[in-house]
Amino acid sequence: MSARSKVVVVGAGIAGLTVAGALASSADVTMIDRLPAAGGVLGYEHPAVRAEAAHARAGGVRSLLGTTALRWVDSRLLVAGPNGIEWLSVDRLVYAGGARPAVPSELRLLGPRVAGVVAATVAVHLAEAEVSMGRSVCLVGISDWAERAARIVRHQGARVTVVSTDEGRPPDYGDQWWMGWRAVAIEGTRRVSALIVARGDSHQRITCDTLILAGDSRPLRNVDGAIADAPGVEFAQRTEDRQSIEDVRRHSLEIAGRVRDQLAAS
Amino acid sequence: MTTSPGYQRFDVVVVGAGVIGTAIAARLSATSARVCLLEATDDVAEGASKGNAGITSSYYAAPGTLESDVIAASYLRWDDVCRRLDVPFRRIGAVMAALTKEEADGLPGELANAKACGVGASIVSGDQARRLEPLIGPDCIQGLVLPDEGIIDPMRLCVGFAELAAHNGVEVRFDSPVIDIESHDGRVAAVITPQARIETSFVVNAAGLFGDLIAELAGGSSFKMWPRKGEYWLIDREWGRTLRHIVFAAPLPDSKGIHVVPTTNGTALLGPSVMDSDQRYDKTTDSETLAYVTEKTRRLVPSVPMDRAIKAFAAIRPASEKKVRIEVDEVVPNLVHAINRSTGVSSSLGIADMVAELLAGAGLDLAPRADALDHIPTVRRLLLDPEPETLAALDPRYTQVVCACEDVSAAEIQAALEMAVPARSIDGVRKRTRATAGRCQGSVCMAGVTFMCSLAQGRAPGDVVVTASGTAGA
Repeated sequence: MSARSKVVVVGAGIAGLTVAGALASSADVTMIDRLPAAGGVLGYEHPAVRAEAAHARAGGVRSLLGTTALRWVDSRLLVAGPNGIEWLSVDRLVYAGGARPAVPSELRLLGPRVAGVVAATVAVHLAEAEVSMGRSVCLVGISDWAERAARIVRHQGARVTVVSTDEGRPPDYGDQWWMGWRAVAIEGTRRVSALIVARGDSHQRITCDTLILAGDSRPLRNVDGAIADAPGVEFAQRTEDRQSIEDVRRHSLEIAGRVRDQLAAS
Repeated sequence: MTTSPGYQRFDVVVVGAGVIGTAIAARLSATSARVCLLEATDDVAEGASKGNAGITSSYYAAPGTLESDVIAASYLRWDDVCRRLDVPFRRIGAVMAALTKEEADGLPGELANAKACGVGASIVSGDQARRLEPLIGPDCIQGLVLPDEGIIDPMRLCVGFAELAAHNGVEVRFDSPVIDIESHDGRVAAVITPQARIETSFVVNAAGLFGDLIAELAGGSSFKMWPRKGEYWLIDREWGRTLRHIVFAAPLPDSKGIHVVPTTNGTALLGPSVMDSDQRYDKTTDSETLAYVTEKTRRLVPSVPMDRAIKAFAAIRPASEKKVRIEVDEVVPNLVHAINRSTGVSSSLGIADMVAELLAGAGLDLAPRADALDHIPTVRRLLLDPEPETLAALDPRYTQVVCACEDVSAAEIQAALEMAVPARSIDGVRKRTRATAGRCQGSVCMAGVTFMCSLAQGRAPGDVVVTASGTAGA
């Protein structure tokens, strides 16, 4: 009997868990995640996460948690974690690293670099550590992150202004809305003092002391050699600002199917 | 020799902790002189020294000029200096690409100038230029090859200079703007900051863009500095590391043009634009200028993927009637100016030597000190180390990757927070380690870096300084 193919899944959120569980019967699967717990943005207690984690575990998926994948070179993956820093030999890498909010240059957001301009991921993390994120917060984008960030900074007593190019109904977590407006520039010297928004030719200035970037999601990619399409790598990442767990699972199962076919063919 | 709080005496006060000020402090630290380095902001490299393309030029200015002399006195020394000061450096060479007949007609003059400066250079055909650097586009008809040009991390250079100076006993003081200068009998007697009155025998003015204000406070000769803004794009390492050489635009009479420059961390810089203004603090970017930078870049390297842009930023370099001012003041005999417009990094070693000579000539005793260090401890880097798998045994914190985009471990960040001239802000950590500087711009790691700063500095996470004195919390 020939040795089973080795698959590493990077990312133990709902996408990575689903892929790992689906491949467990046809390959030797190791799942790694930067954090010391599975679950990703949903958290380990989420029922869907617990179900997929149980399925993966029952299938024999091995977990390396608290481990970061660093680079992918010729079917070898450099990882750093509790086992040290080591190269793993891997036949297929499935990257399921989730998403991140777009950064200022991706949003074509102009202006100086100042304090108080943060990704929603960072804002939530800091606010959970009881860092006060400001009294008047501008939130750019409508997304799952925007909702989490808005709820926690409002709990801190901030007034939240939501800016979105979306023309639709405003979300229920803002105090004020600029629907159909685009964030174009930051103002401030030490800290952000205002956001300039535009709609057609008209511009408006919204004063704020914190600007949270929460929209226009991008795939979070940080394994060198697997940033763009590369041999031996599949990406199980969807990047809508709001996505259902079912969509993510369906997409992950498609990727797992593709990998299974590739392994069978080789 | 502190006699009371807020009262000190030094042989030399160096004003400004940019690349020139730190280079001078490092140079003087190997001598018997007692030196204080004053910086108005909270870190080294807060002006032009952090906002430049990171090039060590071999040839830049016309032969026979002061600028070409100080570059010539510097460019062959980078390999050695960077090894000693733990500064990323690679001598990768540059190709100046001519795309039109007018540009090509200018190359023989550039070649003659480079040779007159003693620099290796040769003219090649467009095809030869593309063989050397395959990313140069089809429009290139001729190129000037400058093999001794290098790329350097300019912020780590300032950190390295300052660190060496501090190890050798130079007193480095941040948040210490010079608010007044006392004179006695036509000589500078003391430098006043909000915290202290510092008596000194000499003042070195390395204040860059603010050098005119220092000269004025000292009662020295009158000159004017003004800001020249440049805007840049930074492109992801995934593309940037395919670029093997610096690609210069051929200079036109009015400008040096837009360049495409690999960085020591693998990213690529596009820029800079040139815009003179009177706003010394204006670092806003604008879409017209950034579009111009993109367009000019695409002439040289058509394949540059703008959808891989990580960041756009503006930086200020100092401009003045005199391009390079390294001289004893015409009025005040114990005031030495050390200011350069845009080749500060490339000329910093030569300028430091020249300033030491000027000080000695003006009567300062600069005896070499046998016990002076000539290097600082090296911190191994997860991203660039040839044997990363050996790092865990050295320090288990190498296995904790904080910034996943730039592969920066907790060991490296902790080292940055504990050095003699430590990071005092998230920007300070970024300068020393590149944490938060990658393609996600800190979306994943900025909270973690904030918490590490908080622990190291004994302040609440919300009070951790992010950039330019602004804090994480509000």
